Amino acid sequence: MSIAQTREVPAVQTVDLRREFRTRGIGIGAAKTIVALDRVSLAISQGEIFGLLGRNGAGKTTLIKILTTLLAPTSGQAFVNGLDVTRQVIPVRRRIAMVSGGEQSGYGILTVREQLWMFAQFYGVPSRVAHKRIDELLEAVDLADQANQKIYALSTGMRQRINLCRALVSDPEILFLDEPTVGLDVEAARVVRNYVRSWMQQNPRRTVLLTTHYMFEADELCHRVAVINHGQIVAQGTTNDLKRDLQEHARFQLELAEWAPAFVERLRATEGVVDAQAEAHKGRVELRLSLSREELIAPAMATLSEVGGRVLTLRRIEPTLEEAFVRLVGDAAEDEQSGEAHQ
Amino acid sequence: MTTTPGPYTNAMSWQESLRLGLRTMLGRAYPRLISAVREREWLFYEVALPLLRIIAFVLVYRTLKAPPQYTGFVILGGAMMAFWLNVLWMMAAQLHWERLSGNLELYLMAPASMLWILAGMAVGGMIATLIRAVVIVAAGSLIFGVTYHLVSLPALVLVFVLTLVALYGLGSMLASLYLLYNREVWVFQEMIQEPISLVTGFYFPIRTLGGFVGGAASLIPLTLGLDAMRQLLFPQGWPAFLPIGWEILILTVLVMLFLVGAAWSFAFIERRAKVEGRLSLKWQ
Amino acid sequence: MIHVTSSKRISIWQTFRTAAWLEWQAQGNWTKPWLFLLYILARLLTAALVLVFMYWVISGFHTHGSFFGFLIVGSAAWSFVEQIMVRLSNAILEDREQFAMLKSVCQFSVLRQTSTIPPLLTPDTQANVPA
Repeated sequence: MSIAQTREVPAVQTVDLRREFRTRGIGIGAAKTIVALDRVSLAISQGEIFGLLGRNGAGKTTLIKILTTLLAPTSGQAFVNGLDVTRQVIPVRRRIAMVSGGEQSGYGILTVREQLWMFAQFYGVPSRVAHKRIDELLEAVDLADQANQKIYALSTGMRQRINLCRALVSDPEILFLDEPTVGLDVEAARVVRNYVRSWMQQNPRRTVLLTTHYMFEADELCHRVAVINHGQIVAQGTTNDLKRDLQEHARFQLELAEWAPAFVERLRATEGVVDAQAEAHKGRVELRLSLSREELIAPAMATLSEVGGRVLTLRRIEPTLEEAFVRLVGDAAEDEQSGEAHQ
Repeated sequence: MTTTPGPYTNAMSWQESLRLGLRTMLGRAYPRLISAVREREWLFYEVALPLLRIIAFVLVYRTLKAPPQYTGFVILGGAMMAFWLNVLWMMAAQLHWERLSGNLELYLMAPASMLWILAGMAVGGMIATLIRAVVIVAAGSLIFGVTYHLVSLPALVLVFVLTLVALYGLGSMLASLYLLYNREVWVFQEMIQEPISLVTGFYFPIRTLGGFVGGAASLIPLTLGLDAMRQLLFPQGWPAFLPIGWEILILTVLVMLFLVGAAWSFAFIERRAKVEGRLSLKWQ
Repeated sequence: MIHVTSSKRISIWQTFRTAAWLEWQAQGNWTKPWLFLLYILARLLTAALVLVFMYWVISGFHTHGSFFGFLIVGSAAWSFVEQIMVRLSNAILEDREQFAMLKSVCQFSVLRQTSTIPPLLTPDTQANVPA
């Protein structure tokens, strides 16, 4: 395969992926079918950190299990580096690794080094190479002094860092992180995030698929994100795209040197100004403007200038990813309910 | 930065597969080996307690005024039981624990076959098992004054190795069930432990059970393996089930049957478990 | 005013009943009760049959000397020893490794003030998973 072809092949791709589960219950008619994934189509490029956001039970882990060859799709297709996850299982497994939040894998009686060496053997890494990688990884996650500590003696944060090392010791091309920082303290979570970022920077062909509940984490790490709700992708794009798409109006925050009631009256009368709110704060005045279009800030500023307002600072207010997520998932829930009502 | 094309070859050569398999086996054997060194309580409950059980059975035979060679039969049966328990509980049932701890997913995601992982478990447990078997034979023979009349050492080694490899294959087939089920297989394993002790003739000649039951029991490698080993160590006194040559031949067939069966079983059951979504379920 | 003695008795009975029900769920609800009973009987019978066949090999088939009865009774009695000694300690071990429920039970149990169980109840899955 040529370089051009390798560059075109998405690291992860799903085409109309669907997964159903049949649950067993107690009593007649208790068994039912749950649709965990419904027509999920994604394409993640090589070199991307891609975030998958969703509520509990949205289908994130199901998608990851399909991509890591632990679950078969009911219909549709999934590819990892162009390899079919159902038909080319071994080549896929050679290229991937996964870390889950709260993972308790391994054996408590082994030391950190021994455990990492053991998992390296499962991927055929020669011992000499494995020990070198282990040294580098432990150094990177600040656990070099724990190399000879038994696993059962480690704290939760340390164990999760070791889990990350365990996944990376085989030098995978694609790393699946399923809520990797859940239950970790601030410091431990930061170490994990920083290392994921630097690991990506070392090799442009590496790819990460990250699922998380922490919006700031997705905002900080991810090039692009997708929001999944009830098994369906409801939005996809960069975090800025998602925030902007959901912002009905362009919002600005201005700091003014002084204030007069005429400012708000004149502003509200200006074309394109949807709303203007003022608030005194430490001797200065904060003015929040909502405009129908971003470019109408110039006429609004001109209006202020005409009435004698002196603008000290101006900044655009972006919605947070959390607001965007809640809006998306909430809209999807409302659509469902209205759809059910019409039926 | 120049991008180097990755090795997008789909298939591994047989040499690469073998190297990967051997590394996997060694990697999985390591925790067992190191556990035997670091946690030595097993010396009591894996060696001393089974020895007491053997002594109890010997005393039963002595009370019944059985011929003296029956003491040797019981000691050999007790020693070989260690290998059966290693396969049953330290290999097959180990997947039950691996599923609960989350290791099973990681093993399945590794590129090497699960058979290598299981081989690692079996090899890793072999130290404790060998020590148990040797202590039982040595101590039992010393305490009760058992003498052995070895007919052929190469034949004895051959029978022993064939029995172990066939046991490993059978254990692997049983282990594959844990990919789809969990508690049901665990209970099934507990359930068959005593019946297997009965029909494989750990403590009495399998000929006693008749041709039909003995024939069916021959599917368990230990039945014919034990019978052949007793013939080779006690040529005069052991009521053999089949001639040694036949038993070696059948064991060889069982080796091939169970190894191929294990590979097929894992492939088939893993596929089914993935379709039903039961591979990563912890509670079933 | 609640009478302390009777509430303690009720609590012990409730604890016992709940524990018995829980053990049935953990050990037996994978199948129908009659099948579970059959399984228990089969286990016990086959354990006894080993000794029976040992007896018949030496003494001849279908003979029933006094030692035969001794063996059967001993085998049956052994199952109680095994169940009580081994199962009780296994129950604690299993709970530590898998369920981590005893900790919660102890917090509300009447035994809390006198029990030495709490220090043993820290679930430590990795330390106890067999290698």
